[in-house]
Amino acid sequence: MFARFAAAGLAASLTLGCGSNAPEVPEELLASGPGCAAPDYPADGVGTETGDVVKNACFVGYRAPDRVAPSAAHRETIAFSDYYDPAGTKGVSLLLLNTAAIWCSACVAEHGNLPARATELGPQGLVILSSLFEDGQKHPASVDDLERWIANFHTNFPMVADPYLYLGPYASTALAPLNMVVDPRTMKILRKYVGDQGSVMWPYIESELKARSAAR
Amino acid sequence: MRGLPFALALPLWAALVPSRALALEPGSVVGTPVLVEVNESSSLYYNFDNRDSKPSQVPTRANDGFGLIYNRLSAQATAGSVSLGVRVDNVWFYASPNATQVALDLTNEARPANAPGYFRSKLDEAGLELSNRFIDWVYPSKYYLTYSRPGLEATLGDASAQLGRGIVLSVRKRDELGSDTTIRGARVTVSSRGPVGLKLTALGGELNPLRIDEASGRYLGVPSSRDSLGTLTEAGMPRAIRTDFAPLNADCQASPTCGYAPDRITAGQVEFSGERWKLGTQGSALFRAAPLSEDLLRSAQRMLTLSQSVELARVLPDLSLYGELAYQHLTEPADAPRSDPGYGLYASASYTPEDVALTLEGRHYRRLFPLAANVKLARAGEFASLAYNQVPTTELEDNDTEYERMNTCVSGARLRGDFTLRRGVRALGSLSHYVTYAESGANEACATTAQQLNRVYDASSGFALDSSDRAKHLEVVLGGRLDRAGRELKLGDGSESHLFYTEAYLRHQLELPISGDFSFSLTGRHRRRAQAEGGPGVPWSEGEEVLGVEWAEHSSLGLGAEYDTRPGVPHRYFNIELSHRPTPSSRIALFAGQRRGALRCVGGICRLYPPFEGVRLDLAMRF
Repeated sequence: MFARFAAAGLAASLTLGCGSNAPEVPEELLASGPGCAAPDYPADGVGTETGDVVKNACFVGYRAPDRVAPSAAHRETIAFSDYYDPAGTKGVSLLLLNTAAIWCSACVAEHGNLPARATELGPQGLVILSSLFEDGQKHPASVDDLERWIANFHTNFPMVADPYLYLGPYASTALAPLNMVVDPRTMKILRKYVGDQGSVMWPYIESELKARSAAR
Repeated sequence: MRGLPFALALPLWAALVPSRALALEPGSVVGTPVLVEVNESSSLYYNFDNRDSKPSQVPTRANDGFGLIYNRLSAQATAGSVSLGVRVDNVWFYASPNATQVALDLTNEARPANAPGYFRSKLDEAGLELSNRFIDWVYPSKYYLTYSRPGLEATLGDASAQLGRGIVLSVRKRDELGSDTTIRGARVTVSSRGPVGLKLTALGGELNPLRIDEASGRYLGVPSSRDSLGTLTEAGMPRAIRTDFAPLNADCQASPTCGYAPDRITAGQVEFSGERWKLGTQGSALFRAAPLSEDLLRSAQRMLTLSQSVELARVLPDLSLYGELAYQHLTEPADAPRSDPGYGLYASASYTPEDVALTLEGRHYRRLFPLAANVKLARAGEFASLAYNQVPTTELEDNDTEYERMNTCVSGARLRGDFTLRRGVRALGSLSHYVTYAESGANEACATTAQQLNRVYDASSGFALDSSDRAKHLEVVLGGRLDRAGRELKLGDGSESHLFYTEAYLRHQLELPISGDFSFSLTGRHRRRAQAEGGPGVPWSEGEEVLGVEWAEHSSLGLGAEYDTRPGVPHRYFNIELSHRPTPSSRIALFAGQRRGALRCVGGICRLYPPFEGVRLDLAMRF
């Protein structure tokens, strides 16, 4: 009896599993697109893990939502390359890339405190760049969602919408928020935090800011 | 070792070799009879589109259209006091998603302005996502050599263990969560009998969780071993690999497919016992490799947990008591801030006079953390709940509404009652109240301020009716949960509220004989839920009903219907489950249909399962 069951199962599995060839990719997708060009941005060592260079990406959002009221007229294109500062001339000592989603309660709790952190550590050179990637139903976040979020949390740091999930490769969005501490001189990922890990992240950022200030 | 041929060979071997030849044939070694026991268990899955895909999401697209055969072959030979056992797991993915196809599908749906850039980005992400999913493996998941005689038990290899109620150490099989963790090393237990019994347990080694997650097809790859112990314990286990999308280097943290750095543990227990009492002192020390996820628990170089337990059975004629006081210390890296040691008290009292069963369980925990495994969450989130202890929650076993790290900074108690009103009629009820400071925001320091406070009230009431021959059974329980935050919570629409979470639920179970050996059952659970911060943004309902027909111990048929009214997810799910035992030592089960995605919890250990739509065939045989 067991042999009959096993034979039936095996036949079914082989039937289901056959014929998985790689698909053809249309020519237009292989061309280089308009892209998010930044000629000086580092091209070597790009990756998703600690020590890798963050791939440049462009978003729509607000660079200073506390100073310029979010509205259609004030939307800006913001790229990681805007904060690349190899010579230390932009005043960015450390870049914190953060993700958030409306469905994510840990993100909501985290953003209750982020504006205060930005106020406290901004003068020491910390730039927080946050991206809102999904709404309450896990659909791509719109710029309208972003504007409501900014109004709710009185966001005072650059914040963008990421409907195409360009930060998806760095960690599963199911475990949001993601926080990556990036060295603006090289755009290398120094630390990567999955979930709201403020108790270990903020001491690290503070010590890193101190060290960078002392080295100047 | 990757082994597609072996994956095929095992089920074929089990199926084709005549069962008579595989039956237990006791032989002898040096005059000692040898008993051999073989267990073969196979699962064949096919996952269709589970309808959870969202625009631009690679992981939810990559969990469609895959199929696998998972084999578990266990063999144990016992000769006198010595047992030798091995379990070999192997998985063969006979169908899996293609990274290029995933990227193409997402690009065609999203139609972004920069289609080439988007496609390239999704191709890289899909390639990375698939680098540690749907890989064929065969590996020795468990093996052991045990010597056992009265007063002494010694094991070399894999051993499970629980000390006290699990605060200090709990590594064992948890079928509901698909986990089976052991300690691969050595374990010795020495005991003596007498008016005062003494039991000493000592164990140590590397923690060995199952490396392949059947639900997602993800595996935990380990780095090249750092020393001889690691070389020994990780021999033959799934390794981190290099793919076109995932580089591999000596640094596990920088290698995407390196998902687990085996933790090491030493633990022990001294237990004195009398006729009606037991006194236990237990401790564990967990040692880490470099953290693969930067959080308080996984960054700790060492986690020391100690506890003292007291058990008093029938201290009064109908009263039994248990208490456990625990202490925990985390050794953080030199550049990290110091954290205060944690502590906790768990206590339970059971009062069982005639026709009444009352149980009171209480907990008071401050910075008492799970011994979380050193898993790379960014690449293997399915293993996020992997931990080596289980801190009692005092809640219902399957409670899934303790948010964030509620159990690490909480005080409260639960009282359960079961009252027999007359023969076959029982009243059921429970009442609990907890004060927690780690539910509506991260609070590892366990600051007990009004800003962090959540008050949780949970109550249930119901009845159970049984016929005099126990063949008919009806149980209905109604309950609710109110979770109120001390601070104003910001809702999605900009308004504010203190209500963090609310729920009302109904559970029921009906069993009726039909005729002869046939019986009928109807089991269900229905919930109305609302979550203020995060979540879908609106109240929702979810639940399931399962209608079953059983033929004694031989066969069963289950028809299931589930629903979930959250916006953005499919609302209805249907399934059928058939189970048959051709012989007492074999079982075949078929599940076909849909099951909704859900957070499933067992004793406070929770895992988020994606929805399932497909077919699963399970075969189990014992020789």
